[in-house]
Amino acid sequence: MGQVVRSICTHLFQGISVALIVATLGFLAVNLTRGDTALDIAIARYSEDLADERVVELVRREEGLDQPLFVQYCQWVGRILTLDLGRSLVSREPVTALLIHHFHYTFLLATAAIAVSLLIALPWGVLCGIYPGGTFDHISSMICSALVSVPQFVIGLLLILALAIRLHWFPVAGFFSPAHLVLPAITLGIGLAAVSSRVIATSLAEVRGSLFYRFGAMKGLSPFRVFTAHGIRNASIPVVTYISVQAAHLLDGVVVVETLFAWPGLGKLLLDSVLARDIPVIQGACLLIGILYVAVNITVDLICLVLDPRRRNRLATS
Amino acid sequence: METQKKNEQWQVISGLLILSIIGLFVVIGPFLTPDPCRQNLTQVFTQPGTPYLLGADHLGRSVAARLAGGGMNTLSFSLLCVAGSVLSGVGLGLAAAWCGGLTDTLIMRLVDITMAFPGIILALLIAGVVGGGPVAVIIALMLTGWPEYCRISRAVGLNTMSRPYVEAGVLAGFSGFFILRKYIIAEVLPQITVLAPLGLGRTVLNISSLGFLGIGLAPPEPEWGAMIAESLPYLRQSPHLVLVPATALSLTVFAFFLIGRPLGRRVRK
Amino acid sequence: MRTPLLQVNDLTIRSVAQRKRLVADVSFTVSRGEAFTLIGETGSGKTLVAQAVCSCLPEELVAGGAVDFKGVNLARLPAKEKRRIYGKELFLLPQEPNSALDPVMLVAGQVSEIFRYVRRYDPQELRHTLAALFSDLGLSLSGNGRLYPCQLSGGMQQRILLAIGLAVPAEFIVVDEPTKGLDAISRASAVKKLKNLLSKGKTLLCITHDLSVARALGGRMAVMYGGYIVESGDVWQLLDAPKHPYTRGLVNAAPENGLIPIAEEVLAAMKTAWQNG
Repeated sequence: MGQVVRSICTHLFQGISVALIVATLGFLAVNLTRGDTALDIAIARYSEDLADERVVELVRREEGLDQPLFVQYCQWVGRILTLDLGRSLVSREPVTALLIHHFHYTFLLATAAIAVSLLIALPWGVLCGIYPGGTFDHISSMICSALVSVPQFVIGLLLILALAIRLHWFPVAGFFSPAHLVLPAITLGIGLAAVSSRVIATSLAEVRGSLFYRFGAMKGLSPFRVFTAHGIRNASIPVVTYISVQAAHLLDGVVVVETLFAWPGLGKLLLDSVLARDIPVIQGACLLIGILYVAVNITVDLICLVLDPRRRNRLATS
Repeated sequence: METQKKNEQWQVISGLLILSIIGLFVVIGPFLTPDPCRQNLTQVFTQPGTPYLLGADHLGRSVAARLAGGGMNTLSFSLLCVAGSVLSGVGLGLAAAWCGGLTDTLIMRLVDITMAFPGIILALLIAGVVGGGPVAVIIALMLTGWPEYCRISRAVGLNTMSRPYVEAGVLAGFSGFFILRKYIIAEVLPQITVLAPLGLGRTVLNISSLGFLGIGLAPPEPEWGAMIAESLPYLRQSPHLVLVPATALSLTVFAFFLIGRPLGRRVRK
Repeated sequence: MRTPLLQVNDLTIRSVAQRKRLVADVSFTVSRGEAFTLIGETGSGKTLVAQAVCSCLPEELVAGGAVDFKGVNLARLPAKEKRRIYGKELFLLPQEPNSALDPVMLVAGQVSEIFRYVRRYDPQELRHTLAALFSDLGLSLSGNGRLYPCQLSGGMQQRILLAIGLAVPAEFIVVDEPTKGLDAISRASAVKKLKNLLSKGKTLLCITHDLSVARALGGRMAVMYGGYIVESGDVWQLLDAPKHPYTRGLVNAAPENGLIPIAEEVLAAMKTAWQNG
């Protein structure tokens, strides 16, 4: 168990340093390239006509923008550590509250999408992995590469056209009832399933071809017993490892799908604040997405450590 | 084995066929169709047929013309992004292989970080800083694209540098630049070229997604993703406004993947 | 005369991809209750013969000739019938413990699953037998048993594999290199365990490169080189008075006989003989 705790600490350290680097780069980029931030804030707050020099100076002093960059950076980091991300330039709401509100929706959507993708990918991938190289496997592989080529917003559009406009089964967009969740979750889920079913299929096929799997049959175990005892855990290791790659994919997809379906999650918030140049919100959203991303990676690594004794062994000996 | 090879050949051939049809349409299209930005408010939402081959959109602009122009924009921007990623990736990869030590470690750490970062979100972040527009998109996609080329060219570079003929070249007194150019880059380039179709496919996907989000080219200019976003409010009345660019987009990406998969598999071996 | 349990007639194994014959015209019989040792150096095709006997050759290889187990050609049996035979009547103990053991399962589990699901012991009986088996092999159930294969040394893994071989109820057991990677003491104990199997009435086909294993097991043996059987017969007769020059060389090359290398001329002569024949 000691190794596992040590591994968590290493990951946390790595994750925090990455998050800090990203946040710092974001801070520098915003402050060095964005011209006069105080002017932007003043315009956003008091409209362009009222933002004369006197108002801009007032804003500058009020927001601490007259300090040297290093002092500003320290203040900014200090505020982040106390979870104070400032206020939105547009709505004047605290960024932390905004993030929590929108994260709730993204969490719902992502969970539903992962559930959908598992529902599709598990049986599909297992079937392909049991008969690798067969007709079903070939056709599935073609379907998957076709699905991967279709942008997610096109998949979403086709679903809207078919299920919402033609058949009236689900609402087109919005967030007022659980029915609104169905189409965006399917859209995201299909894209994830197309890739993960292939990962499941190849890793299962590889395990089934390995000597220890065939040795299980030689021992006299039934095919079902061999599959449950030697197949599932071995095949799941690459699948779980791949989740960290999929997390990036999911986050990208969240932005597009939330925009398409007007789902008020983090992606939509990020896009809206980018279009409105609402810098505190952009920074906050990026920080949150970074933290989420690191959290997913740490979780995936931990699950892999639990699943795979070889990895634990390497950790213990290194 | 034989059947798989034949299968892969067919994939490449059909991919090339689809791409050449799309390419031909994109190159010749603008000469046969009206100006993609010219509005004709008497022809709003015309069905496909006359006077416009693929109908007209909500501002009475020819969909065929916008499709060709948009394709030109999407494809040329993708090419630019991939070229940029290849250049910076190969440059950094070779630098890592050549210098080794701390440079190598730093560059590879950077590769690990960027490889893991979601591309569209990075693009949004950069657009938020730079302020949108094609420049932001190109920078962002270059920033997400380079790590793959960097890794491959570093690996190939290291491999080549350990060959006896490179050592012989060093002993013969050739300059480092000469060896880099004659031996190492000559070895790296084919491997990278073979990876380009896959990269192009992904970049077309990303560019159109960003166009759909409204980040990229300024509105009157056509772009496939942006065309879909513009026609979204009219999905109920005229779905073809959305379906036509969506089909073109998906086919293009599919064709790139058809070519790229078998080629990429060869690199990994 | 005892009924032959296994009859191999003109077994030929070829690789389709490389268009190469790897094993040619191998014939031998194994009777119920006896030990038959197949000896030869690396690459002589002895492992392939073992796999062909159990009808589990790698997919890219094709076997010709007839392998009859209890009068039935296994290669022609449907997968379902084969499953009924594996483990219960016929068993192949592979030679690479590193890939034959499931990397993510405790080694005790990999032995106990045979008792639990194939022999259907009840939990108490299972625990008892398993502990006895482990201590018999110089392992401890609560110590080594609670480890994963990656935490064991090669010799330790080999012993776990041997434990699996001892646990299986099959009456005909093919063991492929049972002493590979073992030190002298555990080699002797492993051979003793195999002899115990024989005394329990089981039949053994042992694949090895170690002449002392053949001597210890007794029974009959065949010497393979380059895919052919060069000589076969009773172990003691064959090793005491080898007729074929290769067998003679093999006996002289054994450590106890002074590690005299096999003469190049012998190998070259055999090669030309086969190319002509």
